[in-house]
Amino acid sequence: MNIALKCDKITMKFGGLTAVNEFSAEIREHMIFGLIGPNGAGKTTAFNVITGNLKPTSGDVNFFGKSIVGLKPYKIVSMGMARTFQNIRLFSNLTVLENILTGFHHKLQYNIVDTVLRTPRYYKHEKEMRNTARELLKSVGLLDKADLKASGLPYGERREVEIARALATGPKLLLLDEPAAGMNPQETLNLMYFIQEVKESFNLTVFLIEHDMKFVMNLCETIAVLDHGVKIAEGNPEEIQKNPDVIRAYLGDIDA
Amino acid sequence: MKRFLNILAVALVSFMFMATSSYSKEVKVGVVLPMTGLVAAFGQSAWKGIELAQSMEPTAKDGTKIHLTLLDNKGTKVGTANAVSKLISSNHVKTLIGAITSSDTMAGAPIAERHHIPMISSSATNPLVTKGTKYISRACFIDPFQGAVAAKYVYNNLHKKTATVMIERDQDYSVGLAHAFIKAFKKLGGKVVSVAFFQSTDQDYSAQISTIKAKNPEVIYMPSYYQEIALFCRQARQYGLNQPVLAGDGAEADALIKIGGKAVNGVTFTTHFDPHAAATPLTTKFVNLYNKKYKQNPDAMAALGADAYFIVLNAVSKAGGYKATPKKINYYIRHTKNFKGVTGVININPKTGNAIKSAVIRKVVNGKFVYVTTVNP
Amino acid sequence: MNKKTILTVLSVVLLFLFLWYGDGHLSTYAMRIWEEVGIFLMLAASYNLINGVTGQFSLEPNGFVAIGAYVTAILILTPAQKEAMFIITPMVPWLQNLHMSFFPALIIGGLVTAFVGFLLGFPVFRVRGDYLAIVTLGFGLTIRVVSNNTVPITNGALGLKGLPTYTTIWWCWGWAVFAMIVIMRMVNSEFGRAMKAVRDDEDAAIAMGINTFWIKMTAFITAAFFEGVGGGLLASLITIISPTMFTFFLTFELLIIIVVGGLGSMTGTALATIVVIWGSEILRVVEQPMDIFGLHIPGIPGMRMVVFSVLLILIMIFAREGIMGQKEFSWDSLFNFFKKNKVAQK
Repeated sequence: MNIALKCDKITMKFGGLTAVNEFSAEIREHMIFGLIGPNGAGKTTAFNVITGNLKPTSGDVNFFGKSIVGLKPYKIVSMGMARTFQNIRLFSNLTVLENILTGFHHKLQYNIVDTVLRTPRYYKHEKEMRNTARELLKSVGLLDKADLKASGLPYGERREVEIARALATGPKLLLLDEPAAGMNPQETLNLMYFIQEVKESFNLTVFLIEHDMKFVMNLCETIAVLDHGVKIAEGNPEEIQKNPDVIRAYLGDIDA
Repeated sequence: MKRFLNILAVALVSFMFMATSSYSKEVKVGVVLPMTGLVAAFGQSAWKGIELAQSMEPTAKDGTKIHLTLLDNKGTKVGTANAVSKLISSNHVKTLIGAITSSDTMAGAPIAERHHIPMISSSATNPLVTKGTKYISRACFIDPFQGAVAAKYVYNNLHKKTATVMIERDQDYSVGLAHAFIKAFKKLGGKVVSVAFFQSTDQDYSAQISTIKAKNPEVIYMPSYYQEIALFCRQARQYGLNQPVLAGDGAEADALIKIGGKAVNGVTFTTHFDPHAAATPLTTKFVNLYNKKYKQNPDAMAALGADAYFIVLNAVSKAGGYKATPKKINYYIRHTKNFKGVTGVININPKTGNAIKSAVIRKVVNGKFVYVTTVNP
Repeated sequence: MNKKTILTVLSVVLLFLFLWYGDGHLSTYAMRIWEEVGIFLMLAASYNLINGVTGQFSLEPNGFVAIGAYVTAILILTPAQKEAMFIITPMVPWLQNLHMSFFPALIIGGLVTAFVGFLLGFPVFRVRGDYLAIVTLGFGLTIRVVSNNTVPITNGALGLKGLPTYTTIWWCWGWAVFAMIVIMRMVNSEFGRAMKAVRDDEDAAIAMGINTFWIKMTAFITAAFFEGVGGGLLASLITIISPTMFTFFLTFELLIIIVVGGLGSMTGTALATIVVIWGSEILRVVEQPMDIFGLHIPGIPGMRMVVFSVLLILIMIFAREGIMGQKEFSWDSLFNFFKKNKVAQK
C-alpha cells in the first residue's frame, strides 16, 4: 500500500517555545489515522505545518512522494489535501451550494475575461460546477439544504457541510481538526458514520485530531499520541489504551 | 400621532404657498458662498456684508426689489458647480454673486458662462478666474496687482533693494502672489536673493530661517495666511531675524495678533480696505451701520461682499430694473465706471471683467492694525 | 435569453430613455446632479467591490480618483493651454505635447490608476492584517503632497484649469452601467464567490485552494481602474482640479453610500447613491429662509447636514445592514413580493 503522508521529524519552534518536536508519522493510503493528546500538545500546530500554513523550523513533509514543505497552502490543496477547522469555518454569508462551489476554485476552467463577457465557456463550466456540487450534496444527503445560508444550519449539519466543502476540492487526503468538538453524543455518532461513509465513497485517506476518546477509538485504525510536542506512542486503539505513558500524559504523573 | 400628522400636513402646505408668493417687481440674484466647511468664516463674513448692503439699498432705482437666494457650496468645487447650476436653471436668477475662493469660482464659472448669466465674485483674486470669459467679473483686484503693489512699496517707499520670498507651496494664492512680487520687484531693479518654500501644516521654520539669515535680505515677503505668518514671525524674532515682514491680504485677521503677539509688530500687508480710512462716503456709512448691527468692524470679505452687491444693484438699475436681461446686466457690470463703493472707487475693465482699484497698505503697530497708505493702480 | 435577462435589458433601455428625455426636458441643474449620480455610482460600486464584497477595509478612493483625474486632465488639455498654465515651472516637454481625445484619455487614466493599485496592493496583500486601511489612507495624503510638489507635471498648488467639458450625461451613465455590468458579473461568478469567501473567512478560503492574494488583487485593481476613470469624468465635469480637491471627504462620502446601501450589495449601492447625492441637494430647502404662519425663520446654513445626519442615523437604526443588506435586487424577489400581496388580498 502507498504512503499517503509521511512526516519526517517535523520541528516547529516559536521563539523559545518548541510546539512540535521531531514529529514523525507515516499514514498509509485509505486508512483513518488519529492524532490525540492533551490540550496544548501541539496537535493543531502539526496540522498547520502539514497543510502549509506554517513553515516547519526543520523536518520534511512528504505527500504521495513529493516534498510539500514551503509550498503555499492553496497549492497543497490543489495537490489533493483538504482540511476542516476545529471551530467550524464556513463562509457564513454564502449558501450551502456556494460554499461547496468555492471548493472547485483551484481547478477553475474559465478566466476573468470569460466572466465579464459571459462567454459560452463561462456558462458551460458554471453549469458543470453547479451540477457537480449538487451531486456532491446529494451523495452526502444535504441536497435539500443547498440554497440555505450556511449560517442558518444547525451545528451538526454545519460540520457536515464543512466536510463536504473540503471534499469538493477533490482530496486524496482529508485532515479533520477536532470534528466532534462541541457535539452531543447523538451528533457525534452521526458524524462517525458520516466520516466512514465518506471515506469509503470518496476513496479517501483521513487524518484527524480529536479530543473525544471514544470517537477516536471507534473510528481510527492507527493512533498517535502527542504530549508537549513529542510523540509518545503510536499503535492501534487497544495498544494506546494500555500504554502507561499515554495514561500518564492524560491523567498527570500519579507517582509524583 | 394622527393629529400631529394633520398639523404637519397643513403646515407644509401653507409653507409651500408662502414660499412661492413673490414680489411682482423683482430681480432674482443668486449668492453662492461657503457657509460651512473649511473656509466658512470667509463666506459668513461676505454674507454679513451682502445682507447689510441689501438692507441699506434693497431696491434698484425704479423700485425693483433685489431678491437674494443664498446657497451654500461647502467650500468645494463640486458644491459650487451644483449651486450655480441650481440657481440658474431652477431658481432662474439673472445674476450671480460668488464664490469666495478662486478655485471654487472657477468651478462654477463655466456654467454661468454657458448660460450667459453674469457672475461677479467678491474676492476671487486669481487672474485666471475671468480669463477668456464674457460673463465673469470681480469686485476685487487680482493677485499680480497685489504682488506688484507690495514690490513697489518695498522698493519705492521703504527703499529696500533685496528681498527673500517665502512661498506656501500648497496654496495657489501664495504661489500667485509670490510670482507677481518677484516679477515686479526684479523689474523695478530689486534683487530676490532667495526663495524659501514651506507647507500649510508646517510648524517649524528653523530651516527657512537659517537660509534667510545666511542670505541676509533687507525684507521678507511672505504671502501666506495669518497663522503661518504669526508662527514664522515668532520663530524668526527668536532667532534674531529682525527684517521687516510683508504679506498679502491673507494676513488680515485678529488671530494674527493673537497668535503672533509682539513678534508680528511691524508686519505690513496689502489689502482691500481699511475701515478707519474712509475711501468714499459709502465706506463711512457702511462701517457705522456694520458696527451697529454686528458690534464689530467689517473685514475685507464683508466690505467686498457689499461692493459685489452694490455693483450688481447699480447694473440692474441701469439695465432697466425688473425688465433687465442678464445680458444687459452683464454689460453694465462690466462697464462699471468710477463707482464709489465701500472699498474705494471701482472701475471694471469691460474686456477682462477685472476691477481696477486701489490697494490699501496696513501695518501692525502695538497689537493693532493701522492704516499706512493707499496705492493707486 | 430568458425572461429575467429581457427584463434587465429592458430596464437599462428604460434608464437611457429617461436620461434621453431628461436631457431635453429636465433643467440643466437636475441633469447635472444625475451626471454626478452616474459618476458616484461607478465610484461607489467599485469601492464596494473591495470593501463590501471582498471585505478588505480600504480607504483608497480619494487617492485613486486624484490619479485618474490628473492623468486624464493632462491628456485632454492642449499643449497651448498647458504652456499658458504652467507659469512657475514649465511642464515636462513630452507631457506638454501629449494630447488626445477623451475616450483614450479616460482609459489611460484608468489603466495608470489600476497600475498604481497593483503596486500598492502587491506588498499589502502579501501580509495579513488591517494594513490596507493604513496604507491607503497614507497614500491619499501622499498623493496630495506629491501633486503639490511635482510642479512640472501637476502645476503644484495652482492646479489644472480650463479643462474641456467633454463629460456629458451619456459618458457618465455609459461608464456607470458598464462598470455595474462588469462588477456584478464578477460578483456573480466563481471570482465573486471567492471574494466573498475571503471576506467571510480568509483561512478557510485558503484551505479551499483559493489564491487569496490574487483574489484580493483582482478586486483592488478592478476598483482602481474604475475609480481612475471616474476621476477623469469628474475632472472634465468640474473643469478644474487641484491638490485640495480630492480630500478624505470624498472617500468618506463613498463610505456612507456603501454602508447605507449595504456592504456587498451593488443594487443597494445604486439606490444609496441616488439617495445620498440627491438627498443633500433636495435638503437645500431646509436652509432657505421660510415664512410659516407669518413667522419668519431665517435660513440656517449647515442645516441640511444636520437633517441629513439624522436621516442616516435613522437608516442605520432601522436597517442596520443598510437598505439592501447583503442581498441584491432580483426579479424573482419582486415577483414573489407581488405574489404574496395577491395571496394576502384573497
